[in-house]
Amino acid sequence: MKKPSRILIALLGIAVLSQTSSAQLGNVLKNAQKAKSIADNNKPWTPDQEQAIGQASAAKLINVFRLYENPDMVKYVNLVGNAVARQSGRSIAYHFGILDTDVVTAVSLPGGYIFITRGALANLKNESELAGVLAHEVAHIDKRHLEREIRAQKNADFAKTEAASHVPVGAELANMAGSIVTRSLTLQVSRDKESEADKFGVEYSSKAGYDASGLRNFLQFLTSVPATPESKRALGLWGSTHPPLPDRINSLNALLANYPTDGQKLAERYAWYVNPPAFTHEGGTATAEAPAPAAGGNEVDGVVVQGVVVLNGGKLPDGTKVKVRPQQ
Amino acid sequence: MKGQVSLGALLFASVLAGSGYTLSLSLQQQQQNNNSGQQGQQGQQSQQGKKSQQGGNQQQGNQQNSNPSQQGNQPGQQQNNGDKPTPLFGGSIGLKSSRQTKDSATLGFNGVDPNGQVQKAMLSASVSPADAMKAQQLAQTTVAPADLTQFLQDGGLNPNAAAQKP
Repeated sequence: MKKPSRILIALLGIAVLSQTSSAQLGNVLKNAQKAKSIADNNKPWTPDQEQAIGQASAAKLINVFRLYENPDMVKYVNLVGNAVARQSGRSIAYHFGILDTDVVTAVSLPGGYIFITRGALANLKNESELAGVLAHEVAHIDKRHLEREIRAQKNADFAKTEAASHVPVGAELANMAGSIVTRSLTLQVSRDKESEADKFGVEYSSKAGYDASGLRNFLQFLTSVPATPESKRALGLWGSTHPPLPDRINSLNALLANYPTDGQKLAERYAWYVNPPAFTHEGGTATAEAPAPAAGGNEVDGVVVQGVVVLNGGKLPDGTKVKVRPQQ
Repeated sequence: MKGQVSLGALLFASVLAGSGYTLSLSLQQQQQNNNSGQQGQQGQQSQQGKKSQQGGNQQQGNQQNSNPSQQGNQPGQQQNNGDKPTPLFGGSIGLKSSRQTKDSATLGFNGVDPNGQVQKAMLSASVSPADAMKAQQLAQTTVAPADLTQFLQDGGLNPNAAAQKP
């Protein structure tokens, strides 16, 4: 009886040790998986990841607001945007689009995608203000603000390990894009990140040669808008996703003391592209007597729609004299 | 013999336990060192079987036409719907309205509710193939270097770019 009992005890010992070893192995693997997820989430997205996620997010944003597809105006916004983006020094291609909504806001997404709304463009006064707004969004991308928030969220939620170390596709990509756009449009950007974007945005626009106060001037204008149901609708998104305007304006005022005041404002060029003149001539080709340099000369093609001249090649500052030749 | 049997069993048990621990350590190290490959491949493989969410439910923006004011401004250059130009701004909200016309078919606060908040239905809607195509086209939007140079020169802006970061 002694022999079998000793053997039994030994076998029991083996079983217990094996169980313990197996449990230890499971825990260690689980911890290793967590550690890897955190390590992956703390790494910046690769260019391929950022591009894929950014493009999918752009598609989602377009789905919400739709695009304002005016080739000349889109080209103009891209020229201004690239003028400031090239001062950030980050080697990434920026793509600027216009969203077809009266809402006044601008949105940046990973991968260099930046959108400004039709409503914002309608209320900017000059090119330096546009440059200031776009430079602020460039700074968000340059500093990877949204990406960092998404990665932090992933660390807080170990269940979400997707896109940690590979380029997401399909449903995973769609889910990520949805999360990013929802976050962009519903959550307030942290004060720290907003301040950083203001700081570097002013730097980029000033280095590009613009009046550094463009963003501040636009924010000041927004504070002066009377409260009406329509202004609430136009500015509601801005209010819910950005820190209070007076705080930002005060910070910008302090910042601007360190910048030159002789930068370009370019109100006329902005008006050329964005604020149309009051043409009422009928028929033929409109020719501006005061040429706008960026339009490539003083002759502007247009068509007559319902009795008014609609230009195809640019816009003219208010007060520009126009000659109309009959169509041949 | 008795001692040999029990000693052998214990030795075997300790070898089993030891090898398991060694294995767990090496796996942990390997997982921590493995910076992308294996998990990425697994993730991609798992995604290949999943059906894409894209396509299908194309959401139209919630168009709400604003009352055009009479400021005498002109319609824009955009001609989205046939030959009709697309005005830039349709609201009369105390903000400057740069353009008001009767052609208000695409005017409005697309995407937001009366409080200016994005409609939840829009956020949960699937992206249409057309939206994906537009995003792809946007990704291919580039500014020709010559155009940018001319633009900077015309505006008296800085022709020099910042040094690129590593």
